[in-house]
This record gives sequence, C-alpha cells and structure tokens, in this order.
Amino acid sequence: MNPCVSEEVLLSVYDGDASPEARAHVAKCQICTMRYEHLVKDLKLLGQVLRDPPPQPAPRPVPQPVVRRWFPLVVTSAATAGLVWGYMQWTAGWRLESSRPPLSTVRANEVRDEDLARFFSQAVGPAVFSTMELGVTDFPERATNLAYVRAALDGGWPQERCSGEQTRGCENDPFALLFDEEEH
Amino acid sequence: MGDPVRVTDDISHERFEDLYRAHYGRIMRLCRLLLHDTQEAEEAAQEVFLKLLRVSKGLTGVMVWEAWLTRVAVNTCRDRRRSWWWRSKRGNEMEWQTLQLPSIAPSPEEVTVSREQRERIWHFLRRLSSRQQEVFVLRYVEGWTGEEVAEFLEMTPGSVKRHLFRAVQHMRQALGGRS
Repeated sequence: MNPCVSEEVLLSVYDGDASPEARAHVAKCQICTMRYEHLVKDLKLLGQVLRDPPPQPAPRPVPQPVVRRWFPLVVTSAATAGLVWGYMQWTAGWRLESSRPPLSTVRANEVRDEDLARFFSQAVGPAVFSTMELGVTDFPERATNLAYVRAALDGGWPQERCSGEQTRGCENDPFALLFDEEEH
Repeated sequence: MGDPVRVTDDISHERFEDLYRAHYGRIMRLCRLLLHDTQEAEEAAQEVFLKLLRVSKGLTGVMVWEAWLTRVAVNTCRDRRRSWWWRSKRGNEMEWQTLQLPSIAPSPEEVTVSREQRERIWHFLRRLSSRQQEVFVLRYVEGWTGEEVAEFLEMTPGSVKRHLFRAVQHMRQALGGRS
C-alpha cells in the first residue's frame, strides 16, 4: 500500500485544510515533500504569470471574408465598365450628331426627291411604258392614230372623223376618241 | 482581507476616488482574467465602479469594499459571458494589450518563464470552464481564501475544493515537465 498522499490532499495541505496526519506525512515523506514543493512552485508561478499582463500575440493579418475581399474588385470593375460604356455611348452620339446633315440640306434633299419623282412619273414613265415605238416599221395604218400623231405634231386635235358639225364637239370632248378606239 | 469601512452616508467624491485608485487595477485584472479581452475587461471594470456609485447610496453598516467590488466584478463578468454577443465575440481572436498595473518585482522564477510558456498558461486558463476559471483566479491569483471564494460565488466550500483541484490539475499541464 502506497502511504503517499494524493494530489488532492497535497492541495488541501497547501490550502490549510488538510488533516494533521496528512500534514505530518508530507513533512516526513521525502517524496511527498518534493511533490508538495513542486505544487507550491507551480501554483506560485501560475499566479505570478496570470497576475502579469497577458503576452501580446504577434500581429497576424486578419483574414477578410471572401465577400469583402472581392467587393472592391467588383465595384472597381463595375465602375470601369460603366465609364467605358458611358464613353462609348457619348462618342457614338457625338458621331451621329456630327454625321447628320443640317436641316436645310435635308429639305433640299426632300425637294430633290420630289423633283426626281416627278421626272420619273412624267418623263421616264411614258417613255418606258409607251405603246408607240418610233423604230417600228409596221407602223399601224390606223387612220385614227395617224391622225392623232399628225395632229399632235401640228399642235392641234385630229380632224379626220370630225364632220363640220362635230368639229367643235371633237375638240371639246377628247373622250369620244377613246370610245371610238374601243369600238375597233 | 481589505479594510472595513463604516458607511454612514453616501460615498463622498473623495472616498470614491480613493476606492477607484486603490482597486481599479485589481478589478481590471480580475475582469481581464475572467473575460480574456482587455477592452471588455475595461468596460466591465467601469461598470463595477458605476454600480458602486449607484448602490452606495442605499448601503449602511460595515462594508469591505474590496470584497464587495470583487463579488460585483465576478457577477458583472458572468453576466457579460452569458450574453449572446460575448459568446459570438469569444470565437474571434482575442486582442491582448499591455496594461499598466502595479508591477511586482520579478522573481527568478518569473525571469525564467519564457514567452511561449506564458502564452501556454494563458491558453490553458481559457480552456477552463467558467466556474473553474473563477475559482482558480480568485483563489490563486487574487489570493482569497477558499471560504471567501465560496461566499463570492455562492458555492459550498466542498464544491470550491473540487473545482479548484480540477483547475489546478489542468493548469499544471501548461507547465509541461515542471511538475
């Protein structure tokens, strides 16, 4: 049987709560005396260290959260993209403004278009879609057409089928000729 | 421990300043040991003396201010540890700063303690349970008797002894091969 006291009893001896027998044993036993001295030394050292200010740890870089770490990059990228987009929009608008003709020029172009349309409808149209071709050899021997051509060259109305009483009517009613052509 | 003071009236301004000057460093150290955060400990110590200023108006009889302040400091730190924001903060890295306390002349033992060993001791203290920290600090750092610690913490002396023994066993491991 080991007569040495336990650690708890040793602590009681230190606190002054141990029994006289335990204190006497610690005083006599070399092993327990050494254990007790170790305990007292440790407790004093612990108390001394903890009474002093705690050691200041070496400064370590605080790791930032991923969101915080990427936040400046995202904001910078967005701002840069916005600036580039805005610059492109501004330059595009500026180019459009510079390439747009002045209002007077537009109106001149519109007038020119109207003239061109009138030219096509009055000059080119009849020339292209005309039924009369001057180079045709078998010119129709239709008295009516021939009379009209001659009358046109003379600057008047055809007189071929107009009788004396009808001359005034033929001059005044050019549609009668149209109906006459349909009869043929 | 401490000098009993007869309280017959409100604490005068001079008396409050004397108490503050005499006990602030010790109360601050106790709060730092129990909270492991210098800034929190400063706030807790300020709160303790604010309570002293408020409560003293209704106190009569003989008061041992040192014991009263210690008890209030332990309860204040306990309240702070129980709050949710302190628990969330405790997970973060503690920032330790050097505090100017009444210095004691370094013993040869202290000189031999390396920085790593001191950090190890503080680390082991933080790993104790809250109750074991309170018991160990009050008994072996602040120097109160077992009966006084039991009275401060409203525990039985037997319970204090059990907590003390476990705390001492744990803390001696921090010293490695010394024991």
